Amino acid sequence: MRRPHRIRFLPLLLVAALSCAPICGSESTPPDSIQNAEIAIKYIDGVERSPFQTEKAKAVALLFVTQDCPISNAYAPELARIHKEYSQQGFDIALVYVDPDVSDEAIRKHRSEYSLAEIPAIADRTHALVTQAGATITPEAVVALPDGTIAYRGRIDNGFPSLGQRRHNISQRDLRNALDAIADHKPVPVPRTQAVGCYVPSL
Amino acid sequence: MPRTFKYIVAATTLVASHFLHASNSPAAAPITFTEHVAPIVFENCASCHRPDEAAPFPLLSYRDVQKRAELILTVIDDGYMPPWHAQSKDFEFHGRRGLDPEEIETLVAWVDGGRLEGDPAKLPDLPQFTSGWQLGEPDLVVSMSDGYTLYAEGPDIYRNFAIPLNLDEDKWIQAIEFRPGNRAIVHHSLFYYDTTGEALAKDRSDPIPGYKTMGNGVERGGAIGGWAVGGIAKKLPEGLAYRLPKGSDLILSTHFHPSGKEETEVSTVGFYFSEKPPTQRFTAVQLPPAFGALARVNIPAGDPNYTKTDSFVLPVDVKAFGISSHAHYLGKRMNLSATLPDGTAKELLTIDDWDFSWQEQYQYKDYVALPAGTRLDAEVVWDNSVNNPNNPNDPPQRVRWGRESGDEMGSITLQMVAADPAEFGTLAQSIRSHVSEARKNARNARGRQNRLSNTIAPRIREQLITRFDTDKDGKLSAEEREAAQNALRRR
Repeated sequence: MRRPHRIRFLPLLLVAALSCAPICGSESTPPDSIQNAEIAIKYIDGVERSPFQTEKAKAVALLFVTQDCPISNAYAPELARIHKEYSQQGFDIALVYVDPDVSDEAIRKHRSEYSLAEIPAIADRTHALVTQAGATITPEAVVALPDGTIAYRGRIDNGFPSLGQRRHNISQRDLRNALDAIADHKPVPVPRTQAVGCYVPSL
Repeated sequence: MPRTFKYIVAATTLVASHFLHASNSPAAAPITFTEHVAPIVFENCASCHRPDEAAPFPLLSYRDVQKRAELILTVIDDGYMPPWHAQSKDFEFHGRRGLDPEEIETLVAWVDGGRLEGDPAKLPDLPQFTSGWQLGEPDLVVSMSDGYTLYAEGPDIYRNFAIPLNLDEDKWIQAIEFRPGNRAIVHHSLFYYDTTGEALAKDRSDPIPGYKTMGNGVERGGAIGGWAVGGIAKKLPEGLAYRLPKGSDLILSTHFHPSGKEETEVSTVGFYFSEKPPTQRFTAVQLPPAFGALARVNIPAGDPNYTKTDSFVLPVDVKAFGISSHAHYLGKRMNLSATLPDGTAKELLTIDDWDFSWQEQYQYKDYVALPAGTRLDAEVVWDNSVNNPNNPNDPPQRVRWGRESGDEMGSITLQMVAADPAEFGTLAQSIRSHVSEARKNARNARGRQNRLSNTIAPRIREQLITRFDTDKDGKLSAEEREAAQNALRRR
C-alpha cells in the first residue's frame, strides 16, 4: 500500500528467488497435499510424533513461526487463543519454529515469554515440515485434512496489510474461517491467502 | 516466494538467459559476502541490527545475512528498510538512511549468484559502535520514575510522561538524547517542556505512569525535538539552542507498539546544554499553522485525496536547517516546496507514504539558503478511503481537526534562522502575522456559519430538518447541517 517503489527491482528479485531454489529449498509450486504423511519429528517435549497422522483430529493446523520476527511475535496472543478454542473442537494444533539455528532452550524461553507454552511445539531445523506444508513466511498457518489435503495455507488474518503496516480493524480472520468451515464440513471459503511477515530463514 | 510466482511465466526467458549469460561469462568475478555484501550491510544495517538495539535480529555475520536474504531484499524493495521517509531532490538530509541503486544491485547479484561467503580474510571489521550515550556524557540525565507496562496486544498506545527537571536557572539545549528502556515497543517519542506544572499534575493524577493524549497535552509547552527508531541524536547547528526555562518539566510523548508479550518501559533522557547563550535565535514557520487547527480540516468519509494547502512568503533572507511534518492515521502525502524570486522551484520535503509511526524530525546536512521573497508552498493530503489500511474507521467516517488519534491534524514545520541575525525580528513578526491571518480567516468562516444558523427562521429551520435530517433523529448532525448549508448557498 502506498509504497511506490515496490516493484522497482522485482525482476531482479525474481531471478534471485528462482536461482536460490536449489540451495534454499523453495519449490516452484507449493504442494496441495502432504506428500509424506508418515513423517515423524521430535517435539520440544522430547517425544517423537507424526504431526500429520490425524486420524482422530478434524485436521492438523501447523503454525509456522520464528522467534525473532516482530510480526510473528505480535500474533502470539491470537495463536494462543486459536489453540485454546480450536484444540477443544478436535483440531491438532502445533507451533513450528523454522529458524534452522534456533536452540531448544531459545524455543522454551520464547514460549514462556509469549505465553505459548500450552501449544505443542516443534523445532523444524531441517525444514522437513516447511517443505511438506509449503510454508514460506512466518507467521503462516497450514491446515491439512486427515487425507493429506492442504485445506488452508496463508495468513492468520488481515492484521498486517504489508510489512510495517498494521490494520486497525481486522476484518478477515482467514485461519479461523478455515477451521470453522472444516468443523462444519464445509469447503474452506478462501483456501489460500498471502501471509505477511518474515521469510522462513534459509537452511 | 509466492508473491513472485505469478511472474514466473513471464520471467522464464529472463531466468534462462541469466543462467546462459552466467555460464558464458567465466571472467566475471563472483559477488561474495565478505568482499562485497558485508561492507554494505555493516555500513547501512548493523547500527540497529545488533544486540540491544532496536532491530529484531542481528545482521553481523555471513550466516545472519545469508539465511535472511529473501527478507532483506523484500524489505529493501518495499522501501520499508532502511527506514527513511523524507525525500528532496534538491537538498541532502543529515543522517539519511538508504541504499544506492548500485548497492541494491550488488545485494541482488549476491543472492542471485548463490549467496557465496567468499574469502574470510576479506571480511571488513565491524564499525566501531559507540555504546551508551552517542554524544558523550550528558549534562543532565533524567528517567521515568516508574515503569509503564504495555499490554501484549491491542491498538498502539500514545502516552505522555512528565518528568521534573528541577532546574533553578534557564538552560540552553544543544541536543537531547533519548534512550528507550525497551526497544521492542518504543517506536518514537517527541519532547516538550512545560512551565505550568500542568503535565506533571496530569501524570500524577493518573493512577498508572503517564497520561493519555495526543500531542503534548498542555496549552503552553515548547517543542524541543524528538526521537524515532533508528534515529541518531544530533546537536543543533553551531550557535543555536532551544531555551529551557527554569522550573520546566520534561514531557515525553511516546508511541508504543505492542510486541505480542507484556513489556515495561522506563525511558532515559540525556540533555546536552550549551555553556554560552546561542549566538542567534531561530524560529519555525508551520504551514498550515497550529497543526492545521485553523485550516478547517473536515475530511469526508471515503475521500482518498483530501488536500489542504498554505503558503508563506519569506520577508528576509533565511537559512533553513530543520523540517518535520505531522498528521495522524489518515495522512497520506506531505510536500513543502520553495519558489525563489527568480522562479526556481526547490523541493524542501516530500513524504509520499506518510505513516504516523514514523514521525521523524529531519535536519538538512547544510543550511538551505532561501532569499527574501521566496514563497513556501505546503500541501498536506489525507486518505479517508477504505483503501488506507491505517484508517481507524471501517467503514470510513467524516473526520475533523482535533487532538485525539481519531481526529486529524496536518502541517509541515520548517526551522530557520534569519541570514542576517538583525532581521530576526522581521521574520518572527511576519510568521506571527501569518498565524493571526489564519486565525482571522477561521473566525470569519465560523462567523458565516453561525450567522447562517442564527438567521434561519423557525419555519425554514423546520423545513430544513424535514428535508436534510437523513438519520431521522429530529435534529441536524454536522454532516446534515453542511448539506443544508450547501443547498442554501445554491439558492
